[in-house]
Amino acid sequence: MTKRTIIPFGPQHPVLPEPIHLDLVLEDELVVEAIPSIGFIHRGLEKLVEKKDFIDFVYVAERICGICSFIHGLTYCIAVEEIMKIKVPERADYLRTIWSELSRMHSHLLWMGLMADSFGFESLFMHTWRMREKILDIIENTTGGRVIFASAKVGGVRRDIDSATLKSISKSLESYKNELKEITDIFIKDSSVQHRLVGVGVLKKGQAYELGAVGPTLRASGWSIDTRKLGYAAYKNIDFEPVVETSGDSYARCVVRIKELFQSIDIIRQLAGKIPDGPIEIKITGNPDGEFFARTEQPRGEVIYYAKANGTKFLQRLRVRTPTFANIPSLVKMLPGSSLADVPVLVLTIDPCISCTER
Amino acid sequence: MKIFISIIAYITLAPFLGAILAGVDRKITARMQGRVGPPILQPFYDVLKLMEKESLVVRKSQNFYVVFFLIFIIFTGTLFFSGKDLLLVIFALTLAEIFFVLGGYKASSPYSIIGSQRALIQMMAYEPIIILAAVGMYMVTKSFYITDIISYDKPLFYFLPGLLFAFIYILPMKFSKSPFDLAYSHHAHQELVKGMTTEFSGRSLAMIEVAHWYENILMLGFVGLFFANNILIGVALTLSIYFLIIIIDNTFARVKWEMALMSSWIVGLLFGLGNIIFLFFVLR
Amino acid sequence: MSYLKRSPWVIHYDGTSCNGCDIEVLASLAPRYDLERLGVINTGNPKHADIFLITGSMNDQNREVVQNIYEQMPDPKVVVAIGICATSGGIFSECYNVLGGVNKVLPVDIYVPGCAARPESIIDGVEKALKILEDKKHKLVAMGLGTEILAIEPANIEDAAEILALQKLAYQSEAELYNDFAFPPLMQTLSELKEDFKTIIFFKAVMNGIIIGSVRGYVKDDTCYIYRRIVHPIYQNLGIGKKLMNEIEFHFGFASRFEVFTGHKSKRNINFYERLGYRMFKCEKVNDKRHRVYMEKFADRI
Repeated sequence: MTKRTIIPFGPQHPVLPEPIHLDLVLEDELVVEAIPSIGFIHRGLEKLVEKKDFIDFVYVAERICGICSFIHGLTYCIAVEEIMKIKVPERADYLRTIWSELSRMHSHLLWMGLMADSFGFESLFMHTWRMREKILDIIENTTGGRVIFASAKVGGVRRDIDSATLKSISKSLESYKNELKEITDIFIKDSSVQHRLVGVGVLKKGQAYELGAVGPTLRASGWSIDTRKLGYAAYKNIDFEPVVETSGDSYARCVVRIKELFQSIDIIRQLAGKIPDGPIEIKITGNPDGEFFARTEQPRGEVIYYAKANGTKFLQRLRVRTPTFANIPSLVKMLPGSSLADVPVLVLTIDPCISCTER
Repeated sequence: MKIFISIIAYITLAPFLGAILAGVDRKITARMQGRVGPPILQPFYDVLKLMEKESLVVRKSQNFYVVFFLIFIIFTGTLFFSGKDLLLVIFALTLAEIFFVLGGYKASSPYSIIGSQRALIQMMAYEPIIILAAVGMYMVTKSFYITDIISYDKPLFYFLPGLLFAFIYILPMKFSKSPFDLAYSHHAHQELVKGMTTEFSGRSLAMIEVAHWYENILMLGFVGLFFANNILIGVALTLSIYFLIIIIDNTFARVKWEMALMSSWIVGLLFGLGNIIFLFFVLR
Repeated sequence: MSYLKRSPWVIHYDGTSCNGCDIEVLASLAPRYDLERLGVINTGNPKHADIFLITGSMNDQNREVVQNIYEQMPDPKVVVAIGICATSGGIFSECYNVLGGVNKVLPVDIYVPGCAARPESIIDGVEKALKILEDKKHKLVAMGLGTEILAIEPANIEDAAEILALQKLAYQSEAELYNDFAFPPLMQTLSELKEDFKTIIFFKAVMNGIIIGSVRGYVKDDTCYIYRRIVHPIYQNLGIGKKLMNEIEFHFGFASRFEVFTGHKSKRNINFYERLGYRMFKCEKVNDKRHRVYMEKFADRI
């Protein structure tokens, strides 16, 4: 009978950017059981709809998570707009999509840096975040904020991007692609990185579907499911296919995110080319009455916003189902049987955003 | 008299040299990552600051082991630089490491215990190669005494290229750098928090840092034995090997312990033992 | 010369933060902003850290974690609250699960505003924290912590004069807060104080033979009333107030309820008592300038 030790992993741990607690039962560096304990970030913000009116609430929705912030705001706006049966102007749709893709890029770059750091490759972490600063520059140029954009609002967007800026963004992204390729090649081809990622945390195709995984976690196991294909905002006007890999291990999830990075650059350039002129917002009158399910694709997967309104300026109920919440069963399935050195890699491979999960 | 001077020189100068090398390492690493980096004298500031902090311990006895670790590293270094028996140096170094590992066990937190276990695994990986290096040097110079080894008329790496390669392969383990920084890493984001040094703070952490400086100079001295016949070229080549280790640190991820152990045994067998067997036949 | 300013090691923890401020903290260590040039290392280990960077507000589940991390850090140490959520709860301060900013749980030295706080502000906050860190070190050296023990003992009537002098000095800042200098602690005479010694228990904090702190209390109907907790202005914020409170609460351990009071504007005192487990239950008007806030604690919460 080998000796069992229990290691408390988190909530404060250098590898974890957010507090989550796992009691890892180990037998000689092999994880036998992982007992999670959550609730450190629960704020209870869904109840704030009763105190902040539906137009102001978009600022709270944006702050559910600082990394996927824009798309949270966007989905909330879509939910309320569909209840009120408002159609936002086309230019606003295009702008929203551009910011969503920029958001996706900075989130994937952030994830790549944290992943490199978790397996001890600090240089790669620094270089990836250095590349990410350039995307943040574009975002700051167009919205004024690096992390929380405050651009989406019910009825459209708050700021416009003029065509000269759009052209320069398009151009700079083209040259950016080559620099980015140098760094992503390390993730894909370097042998020590592969040693840490290949074969770690395998999720077979059937398992991924049954456990309810979403986003890159699902697409790396062979399913071609991407909520952007629903055609919300300006996605109906562009050409793209979901990125799919079949091996279902951490390496595949990494490759999916890297390919999505390049796909986003492509999408932004397509949008910058096609964007129509016109107004960027539409005036809101009256209060919402009704209910709607809005679904969009965040960098981590599909997010669902259920909003119910009853004719007053406060929404009656808002319920958010975030992608990390759907991916956690997959994490709990992958942990037993792995070694201690793999635990940070596994926790990061589903791209956890605990503040989204616990709201 | 000469021995007395070299002992005093080692005890007083080695920590300074070690600290400056550590500072240069951090500066070069930062520049490779596109950052500015700390000033080169930063390790001095770190240790002086640690001396000013409160010392919190889990058990009083854990500091006792760290003191012995420092004393034995200094003892080993003085043995080496005053030209004594190489085998004694190797085993005294092992003894010093064991004191450090025991300190980790005594602190008895889950992270420091696993850190100590991994340090012992690393010891299993590199000790054979260090001993093989001493054996190889004996076969060429017919002596284990360092004074005889450095006064040999040809540079040793002509005869021991395989052993030199194997030695450089395990150097990252002794310097706690990627790809083999399993037990204790200078970088923050490691699954074992700070490994063996997790439960040390204040003065004892400062002592561990100073002991590592002494140890680094000792290891570089060992590498220098391969090029010892010309002092200037020897020092230049040793420093370039140190620079190579820094580059390797920045271009590899950390590997898992099974890989570290297996790969160093395979490299040790192929290059180290192979070198020795080859020499055995050539020198007949 | 203190080397704390040259080599501050930080530890970062996320309270209920949305992650925005956390990624800006990590971005401060990344190439463009590079905190390492100031000697800052992000250690993940509280035992090695000097500066505690907290983002996000406090809720019931993480208050113990945060206190645990704070207590594991060796002295001297500073706490930097980053972002508006850590300062006051931010946009979430009305949520049911949010207790408020970090100062409900720990003594905060620097507040960095912003939502999300920019790396430039964070670096500025860390720089200012370095000055405070050095300051604390000088005070600790002056207190001889580690080489001399700070003694908390019961005081007797010979100490009355010294305690009264300390009382008048320490309450100056409270009087300034309310602009009311006719305030009982400043008006008490020596004979009144000596009279108090007959019925009230006094404790004093002594170092190098000098009294630098004091507290007093009495028990009536199973409730212990504690008041006039004073610490010399130079030695404030070093944990002496807490030691005095622990001593007197232990002494009166047989009581089942403890009561303290303080002025309604004295936010630091209110937060201090909240950290010790007291909760407000009454607020009374004393005169036009001041209201008094009463706080209580039940014995099972110690």
